[in-house]
Amino acid sequence: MRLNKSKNIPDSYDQMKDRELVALYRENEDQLAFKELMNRHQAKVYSYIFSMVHNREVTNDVFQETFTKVITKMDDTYNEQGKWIAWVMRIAHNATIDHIRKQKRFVDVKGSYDDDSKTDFYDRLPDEDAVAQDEKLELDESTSELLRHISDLPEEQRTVVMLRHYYEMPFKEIADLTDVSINTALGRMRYALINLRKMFDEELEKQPNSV
Amino acid sequence: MSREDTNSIKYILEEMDPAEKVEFERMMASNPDLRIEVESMRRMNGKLDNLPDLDPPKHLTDSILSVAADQANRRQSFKSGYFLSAAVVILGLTTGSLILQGTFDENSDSGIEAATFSSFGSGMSQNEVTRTLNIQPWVDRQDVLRLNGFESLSSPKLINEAGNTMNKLRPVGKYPASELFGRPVQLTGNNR
Repeated sequence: MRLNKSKNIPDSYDQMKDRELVALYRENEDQLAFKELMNRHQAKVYSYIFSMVHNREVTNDVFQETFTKVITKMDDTYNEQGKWIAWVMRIAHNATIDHIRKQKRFVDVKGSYDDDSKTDFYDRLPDEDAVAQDEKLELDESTSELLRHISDLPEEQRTVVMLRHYYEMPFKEIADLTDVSINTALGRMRYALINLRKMFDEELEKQPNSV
Repeated sequence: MSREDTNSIKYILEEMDPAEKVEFERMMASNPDLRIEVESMRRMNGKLDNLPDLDPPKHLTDSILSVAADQANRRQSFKSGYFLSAAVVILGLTTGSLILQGTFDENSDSGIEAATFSSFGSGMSQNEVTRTLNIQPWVDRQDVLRLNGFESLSSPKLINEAGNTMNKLRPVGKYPASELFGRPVQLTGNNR
């Protein structure tokens, strides 16, 4: 979703590609170019992070960390040949995964692999923040239910679903970003959809009116 | 995971090339279970369209834009400093080059005039000295430097400085000191 256009940003910036805006910011210190980039992508980056951590406060922290790194590392590590947003998403993804791993780090139990869901104990461990997923958000019931089920997915499956949904990322890029083969990324997407379907079915069975 | 397992995902997410797609549709036509699986996944994938786009709070974006502005300003300052340094280096090189060129000229035949006059009254340009003294240097066939015009000197200071200059030049033959300005001299710094 694109946010309301800032009055300060020139109309011509609408037509520019990301890499042209990046060049304007990097070479001419054009802050409005960076603002336009933020304007284009901030909602998707923010939504991706939120869908992974399910907590506004944590999302804010990870989002801030992501864009601070983007700003400070753009000169050194961003190669203009690649898509800027894919580079940003890699930073956002790594920051998000770092946070999730930190949350789980101190749990001292032996992981056991579950063949049905293709997950181990750590994958199935719910994020502490997941229970507060719809806090402060005015979401309809079906969206809340969807978010709740997604939060119950193993982290690897959730990552693929979100990268695909928010960025329509080709599986080649998802595979690169998550350091797995394309087939593994496709498989994770498949298991994610199968698991979600199971969760919705179970939810349906719990309802009093269900047959 | 086998390729067959991921084909349904590739199909609904349009990740198949045309040939794969035709082949997969042919398989679906003959396999009802596959059709059911694909339809089930398509429906589930369709539910993901309801995922909301969430906006970051304004204070957060403002804070990030402020960091971006600081970084841009820092980069600008760095560039300014860089260009200033470059300008100083270029100026230094140019000046050094001119000094070296001047030194070379002093040692060359073509710089006789400059060599002679630059030692006169400090603070006066070559043109000023030439205009003031109206001295005409020339070199004869034996490479002897001859200076005409000293007879017009009237200022004791200039006479003194001209005398100092003449004493730095090697006289050709023996001449009394009273003929300081009339004696022929050889250019001592001749590069031959």
